[in-house]
Amino acid sequence: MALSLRSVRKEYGGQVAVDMITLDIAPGEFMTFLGPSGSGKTTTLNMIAGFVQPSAGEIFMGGREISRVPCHKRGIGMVFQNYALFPHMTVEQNVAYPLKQRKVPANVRRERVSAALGLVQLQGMERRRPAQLSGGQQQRVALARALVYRPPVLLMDEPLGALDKRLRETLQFEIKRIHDELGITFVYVTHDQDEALLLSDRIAVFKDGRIEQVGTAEDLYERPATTFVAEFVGDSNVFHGTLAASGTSVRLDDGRELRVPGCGASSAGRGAAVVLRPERARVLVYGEAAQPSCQRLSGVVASVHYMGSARRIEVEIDPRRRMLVKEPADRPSGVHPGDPVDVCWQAEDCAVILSDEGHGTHREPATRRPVSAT
Amino acid sequence: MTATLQAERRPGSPAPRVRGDSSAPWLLLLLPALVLLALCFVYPLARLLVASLQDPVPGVGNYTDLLRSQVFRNVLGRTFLTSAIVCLTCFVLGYPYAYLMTVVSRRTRSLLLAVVLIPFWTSLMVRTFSWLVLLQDNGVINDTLAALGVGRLELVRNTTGVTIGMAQVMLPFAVLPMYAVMQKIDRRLLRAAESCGAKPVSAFARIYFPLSLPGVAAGMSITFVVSLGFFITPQLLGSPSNAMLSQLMYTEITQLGKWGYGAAMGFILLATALIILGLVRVASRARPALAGGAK
Ligand SMILES: Nc1ncnc2c1ncn2[C@@H]1O[C@H](COP(=O)(O)OP(=O)(O)O)[C@@H](O)[C@H]1O
Ligand SMILES: [Mg+2]
Repeated sequence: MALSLRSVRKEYGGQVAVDMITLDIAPGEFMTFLGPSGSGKTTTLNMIAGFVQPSAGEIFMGGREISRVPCHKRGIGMVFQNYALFPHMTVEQNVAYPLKQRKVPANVRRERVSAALGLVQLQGMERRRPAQLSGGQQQRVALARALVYRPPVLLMDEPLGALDKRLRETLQFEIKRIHDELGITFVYVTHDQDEALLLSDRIAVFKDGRIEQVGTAEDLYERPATTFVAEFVGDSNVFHGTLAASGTSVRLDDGRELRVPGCGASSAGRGAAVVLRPERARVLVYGEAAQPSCQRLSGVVASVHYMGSARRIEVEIDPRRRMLVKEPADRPSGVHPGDPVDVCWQAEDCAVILSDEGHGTHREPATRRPVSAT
Repeated sequence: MTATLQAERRPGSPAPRVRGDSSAPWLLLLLPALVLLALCFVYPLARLLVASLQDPVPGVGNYTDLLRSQVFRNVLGRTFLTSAIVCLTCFVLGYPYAYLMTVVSRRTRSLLLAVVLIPFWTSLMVRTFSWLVLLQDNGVINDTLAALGVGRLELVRNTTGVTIGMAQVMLPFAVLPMYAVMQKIDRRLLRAAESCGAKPVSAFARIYFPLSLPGVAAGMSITFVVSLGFFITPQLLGSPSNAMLSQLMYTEITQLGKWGYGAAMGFILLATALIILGLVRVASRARPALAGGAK
């Protein structure tokens, strides 16, 4: 079922938690809210669920305005980070609970409970209590409970946040499979960008109670709308500067000029950030020949880290700036800390983010992924 | 995957207990308490037990006499009834109060706690006499009721007065255990229930209330059992025609000198209190059965 938020806003005693969010979620879509902690994801989700009343704006579900409908009449499924299973009930009773509320007859109930437990692969655990299950199993029960009455919309608030990495990956695939199997609308909250990229049809990136960008994983990664998105979704090298008159290069603050995919001369003079993903760049030993079309910056290798699937190489371009490059780890890198090198890339592999204001208002250039933002 | 499943710590499960093989020295720390308990509680109790079986003549005569005595049976029944009423009153007043304490701000909570603890900080005699002043036929309460046109009520020298006085004394014993349990209940469970389609009232009744039952059981059993032994409050706020067991004991021992008879009463009371505590324990073990939910 379609969900639609119109200028939704939530204030807590004058402090704005969610600020004028407008968002359309298509029927059957897997939508993820991604953003740092405190950016308003949970508040937005809770307004859809009906736990929190918006201060302003409207929420539509299947075309019906639901902002004033109490939570228990919305018929939306919900999965919580802390599982929120009823500790005094068995697995079976937990999953049957929504059906009892809907006065589903006992025989149908039994069938539906068993089908729901089958969906999350938890048959045989019916008689156990939540305390007798592992975290992963508890979250499966929570999923079954949220899905058993076949809600048109399922909301999940960091459902895998409390689980270890291996288990999280297993459950991510299960959630994806369940979404494909049921075809209902999923709204999923996470602060983990990998999880968001993996699961979602579309991702809404939250920052300070606003949505910075909505788009597919590819949109966000290849065409970030703001430097915040560029830095939050994946690693990136960001250079700030001003778009040159030609519209095909950006003059950096330090005077260097970087060629970029054409932006049109009409935007010339505007502040511009150049975003380069670390795996799109290569490190060449100083003086090594490269295609002439390459953009090159010389520097000194600061560190080389072997990460299994890739090698992370940090190159100091100047004393205040480092670039991050990721190379496939299957071939030897041939560079070591202290080596003079060239970092090179194709201009069309960059993305350009134009800022509304003129040049000079942007923040300190960030070349490394801002750890503080996650 | 099974390995990771097992390695996870289950939320809510107790931390693994370290079993020390050197626990014997620590037990010595218990010694002073044990000695005190033996001297001041076990020994007198044993003496009383002996007295109840020896005085005035050896045998179980005191017990058979008591169980045959209509007066004793009436007083015992009244004691139980009064305690049950006090217990119920404390539940009705204390449950919402304890619940309120879990939802208000920290400052309000301290205030609520202070208010409920005031009975602990004032002398029992002072409080009981104050109730007498407030509740008497031309006391403040009755004057107010009369002014409001309700008319004067008999609030003292009867079970009503005794209940009011005792409930005030017992309220902290009811509120604190209930609060202790409620404070640990995850309120997000109520949200979860509502997201499952439960009306707020039903969510409270089917989820919150069953989870608060251990606190209710603890509060109610202590209220009930302690109420069984009340003396001053029923003495001052009740009348001889609704005396409780301790008053009867007092009369038998101090005025009639029947130590054995009085001691036997004490033991019958103790036995019933223990039986009740035992029943509550059994019931709370079977609590999931009380809890409702899907069958
Ligand atoms: N009940 C509340 N009272 C006051 N402030 C709140 C409340 N809930 C959330 N907030 C504030 O709203 C902002 C957004 O919170 P939240 O939606 O929980 O963020 P997220 O889920 O993205 O981490 C935060 O600054 C938080 O402090
Ligand atoms: Mg959150």
